[in-house]
Amino acid sequence: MAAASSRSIKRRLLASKLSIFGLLIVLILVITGVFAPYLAPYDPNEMMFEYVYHSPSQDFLLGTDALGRDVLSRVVWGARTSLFVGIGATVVALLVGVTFGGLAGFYGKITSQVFMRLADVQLSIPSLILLIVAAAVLGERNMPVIVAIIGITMWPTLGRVTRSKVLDLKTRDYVEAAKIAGASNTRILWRHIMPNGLGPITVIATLDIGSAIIMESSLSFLGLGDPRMISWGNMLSTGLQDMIPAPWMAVFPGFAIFFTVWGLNMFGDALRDALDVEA
Amino acid sequence: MGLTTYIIRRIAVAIPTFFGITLIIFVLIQMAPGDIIDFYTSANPDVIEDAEQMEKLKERLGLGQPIPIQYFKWVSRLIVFDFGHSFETHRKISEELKARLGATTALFLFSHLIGWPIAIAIGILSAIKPNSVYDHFGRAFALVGIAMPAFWIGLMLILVFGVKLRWFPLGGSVSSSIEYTGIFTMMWDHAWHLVLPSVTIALRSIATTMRMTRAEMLEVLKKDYIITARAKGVAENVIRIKHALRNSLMSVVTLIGLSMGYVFSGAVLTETVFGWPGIGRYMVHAVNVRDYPAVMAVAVLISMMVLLANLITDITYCWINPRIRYD
Amino acid sequence: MRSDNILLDVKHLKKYFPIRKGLLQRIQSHVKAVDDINFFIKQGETLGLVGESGCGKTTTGRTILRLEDPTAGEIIFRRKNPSITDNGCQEIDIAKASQAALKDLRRDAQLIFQDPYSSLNPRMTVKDIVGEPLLVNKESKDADLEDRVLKLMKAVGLKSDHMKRYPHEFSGGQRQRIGIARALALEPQLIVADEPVSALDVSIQAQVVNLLQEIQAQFSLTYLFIAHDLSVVKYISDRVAVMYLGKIVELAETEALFSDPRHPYTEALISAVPIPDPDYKCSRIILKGDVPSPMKPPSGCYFHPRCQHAKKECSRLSPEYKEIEPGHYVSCHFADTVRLQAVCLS
Repeated sequence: MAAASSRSIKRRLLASKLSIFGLLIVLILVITGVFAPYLAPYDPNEMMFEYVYHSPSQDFLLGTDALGRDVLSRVVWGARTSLFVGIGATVVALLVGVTFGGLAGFYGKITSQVFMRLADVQLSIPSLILLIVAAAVLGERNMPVIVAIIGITMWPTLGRVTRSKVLDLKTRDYVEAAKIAGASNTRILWRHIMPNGLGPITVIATLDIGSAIIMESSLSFLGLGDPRMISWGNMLSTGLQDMIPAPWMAVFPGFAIFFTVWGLNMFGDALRDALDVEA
Repeated sequence: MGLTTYIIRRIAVAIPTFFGITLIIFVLIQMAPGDIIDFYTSANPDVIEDAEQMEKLKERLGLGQPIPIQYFKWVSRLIVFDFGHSFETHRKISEELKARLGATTALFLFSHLIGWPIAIAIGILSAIKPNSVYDHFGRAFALVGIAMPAFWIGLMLILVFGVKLRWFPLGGSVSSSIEYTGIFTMMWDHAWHLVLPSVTIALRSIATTMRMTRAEMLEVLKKDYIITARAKGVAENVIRIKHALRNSLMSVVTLIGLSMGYVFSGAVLTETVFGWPGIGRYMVHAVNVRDYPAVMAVAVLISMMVLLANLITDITYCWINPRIRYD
Repeated sequence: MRSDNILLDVKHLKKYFPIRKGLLQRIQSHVKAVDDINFFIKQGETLGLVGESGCGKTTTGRTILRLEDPTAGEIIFRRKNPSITDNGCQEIDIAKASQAALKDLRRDAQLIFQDPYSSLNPRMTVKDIVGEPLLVNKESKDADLEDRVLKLMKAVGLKSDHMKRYPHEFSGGQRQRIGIARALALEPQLIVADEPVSALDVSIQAQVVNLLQEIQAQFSLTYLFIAHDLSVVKYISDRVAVMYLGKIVELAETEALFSDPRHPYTEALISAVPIPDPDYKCSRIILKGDVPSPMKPPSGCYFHPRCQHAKKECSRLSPEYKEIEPGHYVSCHFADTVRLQAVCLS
């Protein structure tokens, strides 16, 4: 096993052009999301009725929609939503997955069986189907709840990887050495097992950010998202209806999703290579 | 461990999974705010006039019983494909599904008919000529295909081939304006409507299947028996087709079985984009009108198909490759 | 030849691993990794434990430290305890010790690992690795911890500027020194050394063995030295135990074992040790066949299918493990009658 120092990981990450490209896209997403109010040329909700279905021009770079709202401004604000969804859902998935997987791997049989059965069952239901059922019962569909649900649908993969990593690492000699030295279970888990299992978990979490963004836009596209949020999926949903008068409405939010997820995937792949993990 | 033991154990694992799936779906639906009966009455305001009728209705819908009993009754009916009645149309849900299953199946078969040959061909080409044009194209295509949401691919296809070029219809499964002159024109019209939605699903599955084929092929080409065959002087094309391809295709086919979940998720989105009258679109519609028995039915049906596909895949894989039984 | 200063007394120790089979994963049989073994280690001595891989020597070491729970038997550890006036000793059965007692006990019994690569956490510095036992037992912290780690590193021949480095920056021999320093940190009485040099280059092996001897004198340590290489064991051990398929077949003072082996398996093992003397003539005994599977050990004496002296009854009766001369234990029906070939200790 090659013990990679953080410096060599950084060097390997920057060595690949694709990963730099991916990183760049991720950075653009983050900056756009954080500084949306300063970057958007218009108020995304301002309805300029004199400019309904205005095709892309100098004034409205990406055109306007049926209510005369600037598509570019909405795409920029959509980045903020996507950023929130991606990170929020992944954090939820990490919390649930790493906790369950870690406990299952560390405390043998029964815990392990219970958690992993649950993961198996959940993985047998396609995530989008599960999300749709969950969305069906929500009285009021608001974003934080949707983010939490997306996070919960994503936990099994992280849980499984964490568990198998912990199972593998806990038989390592250095873990036994720590046990003999008298280290507590908590210390063994956090000091010896987790730092060495972080590689695959980081990679999967990075890829999960992209999946979460796709899931939210799918849900919004089906009309099952938070209708009050400016989200790329919501924009595409209206874009479908207005395809003939305003095709640009269906084009640009889709590009935004595509580039974001593409960037995250490339970055995740590069991270996988740099950390030299199989995930 | 013999194959029979493996199959029995694998089925024994699938049974609790089945109950787990139905339980998750059932519990989720129970968490719906308000009384289910309220949704029923709001969907059918003319049915209920007084409290007595309300009780009768509850009785008929099985809502009066304790929740665990409701669950067991529901599951025991599921096993014989009785999904209950739709809140919206009052028809049997199994009938509603039967009417739509054909459309979804056609979409599924047609898309794989287009997808697999292309995916496997590019996968093989990029494996035997790494870093060639095919390989680079394949890699770029896979990255793009995986990052593009299925519904956006569909939107773009409609935009280009439907709106701009007018080669294909914008959606639906049949043309309303055409009077069929014979069986041939009818089939032609159906096929015509199938193209864009099928391509949408195919593009995505091509992206993953192609990469799987490539990886498997590369793996097999590294094996000792390939090197031996080459050393014996077997022609390179014979090696590739007879030895490498056959062995890698087995794994690819089983891997495809495991990706059924994505196929169904993709179908829900694609059917919505194209207004395709399949079970995916039915589910979204059922959610919108809060037709809970229908939502549960489709969710269970799709999960069962995924479970069954996984079961068949595992058993096939074990049958082809006896080594895994000892794992 | 039992004496009073016994540190560790192992009685009828057994460690069986279950084998599960079939649909319901029922336990069908057991691998008897350690099968009723008896031995003791005196204060300050080195007991070598040798045998082929898979004979159960590593499991024995791990069970003694309770990294595995024993199936049966006693592991009596007589630890020094200043708070008890009577001889200053306290007898504990490690086999039955509670988790809390174990944690306390492990200050006195430590392990040196075989693989110097997997035994050091790649994400911790040498200081953290060596200092961990002191830190988690609340023996020391901050500046004092650094001081004590430095002393330990010095004792094993590492430089002070190695403290802040990570394991991958070191060679195998240096890594093993780090592992030794960690084992020493709590000033234990007993160290189980599980093939501590077999993963190292031969030139490095001697340095590490010498280091182990030096620190033994300096810290008055007792070793259970597990190895498959008889020449190393011969060099470092006071007494040697030979294991075969989970049982101890012979145990004696090192010199007695090499000059007067009483078990045919010991004979075969020592005949395989290379002697660096061109005039030395001896016929090497090549054992027939492979080591039998521990899942299905042979009947009678486990060694009989490979033994060149085997007689009829060997396949029927299991030999008794008995003391045939003071301090010389053998498990063979014909220990008194068969003449075996020996080597002279130079």
